[in-house]
Amino acid sequence: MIRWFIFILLFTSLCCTSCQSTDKKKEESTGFQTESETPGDSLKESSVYYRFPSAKEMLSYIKTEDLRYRTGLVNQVEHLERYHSTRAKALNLGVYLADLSYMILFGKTQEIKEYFNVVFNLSAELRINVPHEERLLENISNNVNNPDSLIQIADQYHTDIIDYLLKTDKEKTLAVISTGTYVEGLYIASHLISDYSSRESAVKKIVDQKHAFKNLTKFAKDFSTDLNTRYSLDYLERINNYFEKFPVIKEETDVKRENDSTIIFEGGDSIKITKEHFKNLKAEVTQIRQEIILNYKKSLQ
Amino acid sequence: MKDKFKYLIFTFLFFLPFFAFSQNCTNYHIENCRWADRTFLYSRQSKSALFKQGMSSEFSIVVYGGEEYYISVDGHRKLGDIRLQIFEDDDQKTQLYDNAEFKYEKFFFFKVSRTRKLIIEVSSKKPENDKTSDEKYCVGVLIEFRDTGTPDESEEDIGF
Repeated sequence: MIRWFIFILLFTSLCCTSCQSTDKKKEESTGFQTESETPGDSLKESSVYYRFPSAKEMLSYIKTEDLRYRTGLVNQVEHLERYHSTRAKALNLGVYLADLSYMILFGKTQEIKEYFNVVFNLSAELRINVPHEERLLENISNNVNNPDSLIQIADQYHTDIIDYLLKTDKEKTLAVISTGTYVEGLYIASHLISDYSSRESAVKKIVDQKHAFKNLTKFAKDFSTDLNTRYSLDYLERINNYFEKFPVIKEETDVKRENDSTIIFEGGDSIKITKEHFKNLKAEVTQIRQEIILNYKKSLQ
Repeated sequence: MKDKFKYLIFTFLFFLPFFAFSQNCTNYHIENCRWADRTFLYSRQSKSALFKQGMSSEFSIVVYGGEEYYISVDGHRKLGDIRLQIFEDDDQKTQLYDNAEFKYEKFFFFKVSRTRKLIIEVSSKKPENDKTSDEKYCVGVLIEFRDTGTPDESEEDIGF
């Protein structure tokens, strides 16, 4: 019995030591930064970690009551067989996730199961192991006519993918997937505007995405040593170049306290829009989106 | 009986190190921060991280004009009061909010008239005896939002 105990204790302490040593590697990583940018042992972390809204957040913000669903804007399911490389799979997983958000947001759930299947396939091929996938599929089948539940399921799945990528230190894959999502989101949003002058508030909301694109670009830059992320960064920079052309009107922000717990940030910089600028942005986004879904690059044509 | 006892001890000791040393903060904000009411939606810009005593760290978020946001912060009790400051994400880095002015309140709401980038800076208190410890604990920042109508369109800066 004593011998047993000694053996177990020795074994346990061995496990402890090995766990501690692997933990030490992670020990450096404190604060919101990614490991690659954590500056030494300083207690003031100087780099900023960049977050950006999800496709659903972006599209719900842009969606106004007068915008109507347009068919033919989403990437076709048949295109799936074109995506062989990790980069194409990750970019188009992002595209299909944005498509799902778009269809669900407008209550168009007829083809939803097909799109969920595509998303599941691409995730599996990218080795993104989301828990309870079978249960999710079952839930989708049971809720095809219940848009609210579908929104929840899609949102949960998207969150699960992000969680998985963050937990497994695959943020560079997240950068590539998010590039696909953002390009598709912007493509859909800009094509919902058929008449520029009668959709000014929606146009303004689309142009507001400049900030989100900037944050996504800065997030992706932390992983620019990765070839796939560099490829995605090229797309993002091409879009940012157009956003940069929109003039900005500078104005200070005024802070007011509405009540005990609510603050109002009023004013601040605003972006001026012209029809020409918007047209050019839309054309570039359409071109990039085409390159992503048909899996080619303009410069290689 | 004796074998069963041995088996139990072995299983317990085998898994002990995994429980003792794993410290994953990924979902800390989801599990520990106070949530707003159900009219608010979860924002994926929420974030958790490991903190030492007396350190600061910041992250940038995008907030959309015309929406109301809710931010809630929480950290391990050993970190003491968590300071949360919000800055405009521009060259001047103008401070817009500091919970130290409000007794380190753990949550607050804000409305924005225009879409902008904000920097959220989170700081933990320095230890009282001035001895920096290497112990790390989780801190989470939960962000939620809801639509309040249309953004500020008072200025007619659309079109020609």
